[in-house]
Amino acid sequence: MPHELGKDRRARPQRSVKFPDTIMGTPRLFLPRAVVALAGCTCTVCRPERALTGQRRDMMASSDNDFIRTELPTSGVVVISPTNDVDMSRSPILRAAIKGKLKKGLDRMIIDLCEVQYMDSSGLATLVEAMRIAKNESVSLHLVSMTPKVRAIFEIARLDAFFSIKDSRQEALDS
Amino acid sequence: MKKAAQHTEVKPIKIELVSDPMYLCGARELVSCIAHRVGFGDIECSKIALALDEAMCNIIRHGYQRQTDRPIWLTIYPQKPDEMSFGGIEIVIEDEAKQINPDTIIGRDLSDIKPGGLGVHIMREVMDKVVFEKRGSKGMRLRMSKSAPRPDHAPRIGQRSSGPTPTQRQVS
Repeated sequence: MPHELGKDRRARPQRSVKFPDTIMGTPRLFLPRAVVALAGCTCTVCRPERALTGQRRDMMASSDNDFIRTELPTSGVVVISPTNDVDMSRSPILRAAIKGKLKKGLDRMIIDLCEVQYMDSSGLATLVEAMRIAKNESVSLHLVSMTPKVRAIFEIARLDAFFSIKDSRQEALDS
Repeated sequence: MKKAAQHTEVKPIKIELVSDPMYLCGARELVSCIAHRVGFGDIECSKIALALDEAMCNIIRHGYQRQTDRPIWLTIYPQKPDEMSFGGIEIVIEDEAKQINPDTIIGRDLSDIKPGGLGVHIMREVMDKVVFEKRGSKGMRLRMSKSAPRPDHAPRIGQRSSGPTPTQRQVS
């Protein structure tokens, strides 16, 4: 039974459930309550994602399959954006993505960390390795849009001076 | 009767995990949420979660040689703040991995920048006290603890923690 319809309305009179006026063209009044609730109930049981904060909703939405987003904004420049936390289970995916793009002939690689709220030492190791390869291949590598939590991890490992860290993609493109 | 200057003890939570890196995120979330309730700020919660993550990664990587079906027990002892103290958190991680001499677990020199080997350094940098010990007949135990900062000394976002340096800490 849909969650909201089973509640005693007198007990929780302020709880609002927004049903659509029509469902697939049929006025709501002519549909069974169960159908209405299944199609249109916006409570946190029928739609659990509503109970989550923005960050956690993003974590649910982003699986390991779409963990890396790659863009080619201009010729010779590649932007790699991890879309979730970088930990021991995901750093091999990031490493493979970076190594796949970090080749001779590339002018600049930008790693956009704006969607990364957490990174562990395996993520740091991946980026250190990437920096070494970039230097060998004469590719300019920049980390951009780092969140304060991730920046704190770089500071603990004393790697904040080792990398080229920029506030935005544009700053990395202009440098 | 004079009240003892001790943390308000709360019953601990103990969970058993398997050594699969996929579940590290759950352990991080758990310890981060509890640390937040105890009184740590966002950045400190994230750092405590990082210390836990590094400890568990080391168990998976070095203790269990990346086997994903071995047990890891995580116990968290929250210490709530009261009028006499500012609370804190103690984390105990136990495993059944091969026993090693705790004195051999040391962090590497950070001036040599290379991939890997940062886990022990991070744990000791983040936590106030880090103790490795053998656990009975088999396995290792790691105890890490950290006291919550005074509200007027809590580091803000983007600010480096002003805690003691690793060399100043009592680490065994």
